[in-house]
Amino acid sequence: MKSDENDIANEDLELVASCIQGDVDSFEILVNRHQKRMLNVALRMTGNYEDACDIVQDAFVAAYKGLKGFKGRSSFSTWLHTIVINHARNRLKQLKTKAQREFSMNTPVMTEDGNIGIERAADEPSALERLEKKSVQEKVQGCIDELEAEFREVIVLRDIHEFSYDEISEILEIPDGTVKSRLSRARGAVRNCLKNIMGEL
Amino acid sequence: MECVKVKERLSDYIEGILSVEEKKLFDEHLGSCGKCSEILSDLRKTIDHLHGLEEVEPPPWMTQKVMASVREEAETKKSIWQRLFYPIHIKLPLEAVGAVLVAVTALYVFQSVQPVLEEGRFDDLAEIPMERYSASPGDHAEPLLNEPRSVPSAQGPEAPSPPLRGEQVKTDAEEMVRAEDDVKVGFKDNAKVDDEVKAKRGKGISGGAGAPEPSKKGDQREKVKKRPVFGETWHIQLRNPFT
Repeated sequence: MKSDENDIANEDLELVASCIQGDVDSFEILVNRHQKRMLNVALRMTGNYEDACDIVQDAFVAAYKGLKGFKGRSSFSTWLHTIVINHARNRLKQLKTKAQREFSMNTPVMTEDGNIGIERAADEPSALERLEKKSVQEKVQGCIDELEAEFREVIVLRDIHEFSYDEISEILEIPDGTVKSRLSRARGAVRNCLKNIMGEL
Repeated sequence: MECVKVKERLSDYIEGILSVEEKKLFDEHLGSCGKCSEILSDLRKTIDHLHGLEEVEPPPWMTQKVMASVREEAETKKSIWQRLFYPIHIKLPLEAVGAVLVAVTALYVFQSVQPVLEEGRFDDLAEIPMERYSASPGDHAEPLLNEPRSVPSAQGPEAPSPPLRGEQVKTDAEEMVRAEDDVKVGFKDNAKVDDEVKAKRGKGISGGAGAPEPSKKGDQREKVKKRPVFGETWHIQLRNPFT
C-alpha cells in the first residue's frame, strides 16, 4: 500500500513539472485523481455539498495559479488539501458572519468543559432539538458543524479521512502536539453532543 | 492514575501513542473505573460514527468546469506574457532607429554650427585677413564678420528645428542665421558695426587672447584649417542671399 502511495506521489510530481512547463492537460489528470478526497474533506468541513463543490473548484484554480510555489517539500496531495482547508475556513468565516447577523440568538458554542451549549431565544427550537430529528449521519455531521473551525479540521482529517498525524501537521501547519490536543478536545465535544441528542451512542 | 488525567489522554490511548508505562497505568485504572470505561467506550463509538460517514462522489461536471477555468487562466498568462515581450521585439529596432536619428540630428546640428561659424572662405582669409575685413557693408565679407557675434545666439534656437535633410539644410540654416544678422544689423548703424569689428580685429585676429569674438574667429579659422572638408563643402554649397 505504501509503495503504491509513493508511486502516486512521484507521478504527481512529474505531472506538476510537466504542467509548469506548459502542458495544461497534465493538470487534468491531477484533478481527476484528487477531486473526490478534496470534495469530501470540504463537505465535512462545511456540511454543505454545493459549498464543497465551489471550494474544490476554487482550490484547484488556486493550485494551478500557485503551481510554481509548490516546492515538493510535502506531497502534492497534502499541498492541495492545505488549499482546500484554507478555502473552507474562509467560507466558514463568511457563513458565520452571515449566520450571526441572521440568527444571533441561536449560536451554539463550545464551552470550556468540552460540552456544546446553546444560547437561544425563548421560543425557537435549539440546534440540538433540530438535530434530534435527523438521521444518524446527519446528526454526526450536525455535531461536527457545531465545532469551531480549528477543532473541526483535525477531526475531519483524522477521523473521517484518516490522514496521518504528520500529514495533518503539514496540512494545517501546526505542530504535532497541537494536532493531538485539538483532536482530543474535538472528539470529546462530538461525543458529548452525540450523547445529548442520541442518548445512547 | 486519576480520572481527570485519564480523561485527558483517552484520545491518545485510542491512538495507541502512549508509552508502555502510561498504557499500563491506564489499563489498571480502566479496569476499576466504570465511568472512565464508559467514556472510553463512547469515544470509540463516536470515532466509529465519524468513520461511518459516507463518502460522496464529485459531480460529473467537476473536472470539466475546473479545466475550463484552468485553461482560461493559462490563456490569460500567455497573453500577458506576450504583451510583455512583444514590445521588446518592436522596441529594440525602434530604439535603434531612434538612436540613429538622434545621432544624425546631432551630427547635423554640429555641422550646421561649424560651417556657419567658419565659412569656407576663411581659407582665403587666412592668407589676407586685413584686406577682407576692411570690405564695405555690401560685401559678402561683412555678414561673415557679423556672424560670429550673432551666430552663437542664433544657433541655439535655430539648430534643432530644421528637418533632417542633408546639406541643403545647412544652407537653410545659414540663410536663417544671415536673416537674423540682417535684423540685428538693422538695429545698429552699419558703420558702427564696422568700427567695432575693426577695433576687435586690431587686437589680434589670429587666435589671440582678447575679446571673445575675435578669439572665436581665430579658433574657427584654426578649425577650418584642421577641417578643410567642411570649408570645401561650404564653398560648394554657399548661396549668397545678398547678391
